[in-house]
Amino acid sequence: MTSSIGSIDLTDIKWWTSDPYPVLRQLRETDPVHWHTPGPDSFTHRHPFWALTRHSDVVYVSRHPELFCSGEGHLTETLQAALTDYDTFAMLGADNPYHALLRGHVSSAFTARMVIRAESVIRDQVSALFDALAPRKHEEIDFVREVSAVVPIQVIGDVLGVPPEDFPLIAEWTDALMESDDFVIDMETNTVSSAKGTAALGEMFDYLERMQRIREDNPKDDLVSRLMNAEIDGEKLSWRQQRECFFVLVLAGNDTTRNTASAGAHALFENPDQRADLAADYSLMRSAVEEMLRWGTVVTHFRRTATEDTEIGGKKIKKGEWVAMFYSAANRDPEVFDNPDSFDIRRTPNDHLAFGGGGPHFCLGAPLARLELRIIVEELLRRYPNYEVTGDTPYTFSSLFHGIKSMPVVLDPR
Amino acid sequence: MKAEQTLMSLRVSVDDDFCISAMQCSATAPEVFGHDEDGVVTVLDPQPPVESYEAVRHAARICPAAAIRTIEA
Repeated sequence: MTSSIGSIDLTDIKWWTSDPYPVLRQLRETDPVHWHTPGPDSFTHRHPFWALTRHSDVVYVSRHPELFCSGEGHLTETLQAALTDYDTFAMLGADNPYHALLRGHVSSAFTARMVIRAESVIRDQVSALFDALAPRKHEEIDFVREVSAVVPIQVIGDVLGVPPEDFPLIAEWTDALMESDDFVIDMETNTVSSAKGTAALGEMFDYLERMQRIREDNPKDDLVSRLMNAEIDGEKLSWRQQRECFFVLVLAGNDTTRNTASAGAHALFENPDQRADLAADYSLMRSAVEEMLRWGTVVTHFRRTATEDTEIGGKKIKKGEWVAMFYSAANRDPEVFDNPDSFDIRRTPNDHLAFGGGGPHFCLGAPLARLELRIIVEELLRRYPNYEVTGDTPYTFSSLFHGIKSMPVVLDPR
Repeated sequence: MKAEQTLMSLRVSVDDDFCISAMQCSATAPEVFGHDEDGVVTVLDPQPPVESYEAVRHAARICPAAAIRTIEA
């Protein structure tokens, strides 16, 4: 598939639901720092931006927050503006020093040491999940809904303090916010809104308020309680700051791991020799998880804003211009990855950017995500090493989240 | 001369309770930072040679968990 560079529209959501990699490669080869203007189909995007598709440029921008800030937004969708009332992006859309202070209150729950302690709990949850599926192991199930989506919600729900009976609510909010299929453009303000997404946010914040009322008198050992008592510069976090953190954790701690687990399970099915090798030798698991992260690249891009006139790869970038870092393209850059379009569980080193390109916004959930993915694949292959994907695997309708929406699987084909 | 050497010395430590295994330090200054098998940061050389100073300072700056401390005296 080839097209002229000018006609490439990275904001066309429909395009992301098919194979985006040939066009991303073409862009990286022909115009790696590309001035992208909204195309006729990019109804969620009303603002031009620089599209970066090289690994080295994504790393450079990520690690120079003084030149490329997050405080003016981290999305390319103009949807963001329509959600101003909710302004829900917490530390993702903030710069240091405030960013580090806010993030510090959250990240204490996600350090490598905290995560190690969670391993046995998560393994018990995943084991119980697969055991419960055993009676239906010869039937077709939706792997996304029954496996990939379940585990991360259990884990992040426990961290936040959401009781298990309310986990289905988290799933509902996530589904509504991930899939952008009911956008309405307001031509006057040039912004886009989604009734479904707005309603889900409202429900989520009402829910958080109820959680907080319960904890006012009886604080618990969970992140919602901790955020209620957290301070920045001697002041308690505002309601708005708390709900932003809650929102970010519910979504980022959830759909990303879900989509990587689905992409990984799909890739292993498509590479049966590697799947058999992995099932026989769990010492390959760590590199296999890294390759699943690279292969899935479930967050396609984030953006920064230039804080001064500068340069990337010889192109002049003006102060205030938007810069979008396409992790999806960087993770297939042949300068860094041999045979980038091959799935290889032994790939070492694997300097993928699935958690971001480094710098202050590097995914704070990385150790937890790696652990969850490792346990899911270990327990899956221990029980059902010959699972089959039995039908189509459509992608979520989004240019930000690249995820398999549903995946029919028979765990134990007869 | 001795005073100048003292001025130049850099000590590095980490608060490994903050580490989120981003692995940026070990990629930036592999001679100074490592990780144990759980991915938690370790300091391989708490008093690194002068030629590593710049990399160590950079690693401390980009650590997303702000887990690296440098003392220059």
